[in-house]
Amino acid sequence: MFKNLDPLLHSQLRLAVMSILIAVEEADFVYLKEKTEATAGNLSVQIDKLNEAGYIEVEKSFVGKKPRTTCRITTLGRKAFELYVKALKDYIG
Amino acid sequence: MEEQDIKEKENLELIARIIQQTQKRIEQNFGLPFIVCGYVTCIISLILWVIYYYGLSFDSRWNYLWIIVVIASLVSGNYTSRHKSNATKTYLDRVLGYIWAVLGCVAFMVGAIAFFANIQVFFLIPFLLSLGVILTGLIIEHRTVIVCGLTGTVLALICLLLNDTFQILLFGIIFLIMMVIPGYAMNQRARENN
Amino acid sequence: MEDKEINEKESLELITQMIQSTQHRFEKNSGGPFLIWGYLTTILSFTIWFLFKITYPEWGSKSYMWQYLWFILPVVGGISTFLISRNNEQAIRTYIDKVTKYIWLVFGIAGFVISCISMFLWSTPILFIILLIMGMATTLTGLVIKHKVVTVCGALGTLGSLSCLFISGIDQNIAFGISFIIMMIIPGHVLNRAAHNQKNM
Repeated sequence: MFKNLDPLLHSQLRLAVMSILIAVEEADFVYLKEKTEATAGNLSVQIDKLNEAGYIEVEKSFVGKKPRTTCRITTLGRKAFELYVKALKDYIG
Repeated sequence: MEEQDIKEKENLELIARIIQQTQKRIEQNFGLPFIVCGYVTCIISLILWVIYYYGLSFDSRWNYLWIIVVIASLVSGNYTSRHKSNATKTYLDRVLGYIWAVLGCVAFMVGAIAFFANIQVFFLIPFLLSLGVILTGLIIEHRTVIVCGLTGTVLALICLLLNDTFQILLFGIIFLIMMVIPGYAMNQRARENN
Repeated sequence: MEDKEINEKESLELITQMIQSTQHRFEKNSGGPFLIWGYLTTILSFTIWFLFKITYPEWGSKSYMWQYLWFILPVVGGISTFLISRNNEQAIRTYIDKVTKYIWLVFGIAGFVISCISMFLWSTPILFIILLIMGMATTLTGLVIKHKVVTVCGALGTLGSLSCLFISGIDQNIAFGISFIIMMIIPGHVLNRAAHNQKNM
């Protein structure tokens, strides 16, 4: 089977996160959790994976006393996403 | 089945559009209008300074030379937008276009008023334009541009303290720092990215 | 959603869905800052004019001291804006948000700086300049968020700056206040009304 698709992106939750981040400047953890309807633990793991791969950058800050995690897509992540979409397009025809 | 295909095509178009719109790269020749405007303004400032300082003429109609700046800026701006490397617009292109359209109009208005009222135009125009440069630098995340813009703002404020003749000189220098340098810097960044 | 593999068609569907979900945002309080600064400036402007007019027969040009009341503006305006932005912690920041923030940061600080300089160091036609700066900022905001009313009001405000050139003395405050009504108060209400309608749709 013709599979040129980036395994890091070819997974439901990670792809969802990247799709959101490609469209906005930044999104926080709560928003990502709400839109993807994932569990906090699972989302955390996937965000870490994307962060380690350099596809996104993660910033932890505080709003008053509450901790806040903000994610942004990186240039590398953007490139990877574009390639993925192109591969999808080629595959689907 | 066909409906499915159409849907897929639409989806792909949406995705492509979003990817395109959120690109952070600037146009190839984006710095050109800055460079042109900067040099032309500087040259005309020098000419006028020489004329007034050396008392070659006291005819205030020499100020009509400033029209050249307007024409040069418009022409170079037009050149840049017509020679775009990409057909679609990014958010960046749109926003930067708005900024300089508004600033251009206001600068022109202020310049025109200067013929009728004394409004310290050699301070006001660079002051306003420097804000545009700073804003541009912040949006494209280019430190050199931001710094040059800030320098322009500070120097424009200093212009307030000088007397008339030297104001023109400083005016020209400000444009070198706040337009020409960022222009080259942005063009270089565009070359690196593309 | 989970960490599971999907097929290509599902991928496409998923990406589209996620992107679309980011595109619909209801701005709760987008008119807020416009209203705060608009009302504050207008009220302050008219008040200072009024106080000046009352005391001028007795105090003469000492009445210009009332101008120091302008410092209420950055203090109260700044604090209120800060408090509002803390309550409106946004979950996502789009490109438009980022640009709007920069616009007001740059033009706001510039306005403050030139006001201070005009008051303490070197006199300038400050009301004219402020209207110019804030008019540009409003016009740009309107263009960026694609809201025609804001753009037009901003442009009118910028043009209104000319009125401050041709009127002299304390009466400028009246033109200034009126310009701010057009340039900030009206857009502020329109934006809030639009957000309200959007939510109830």
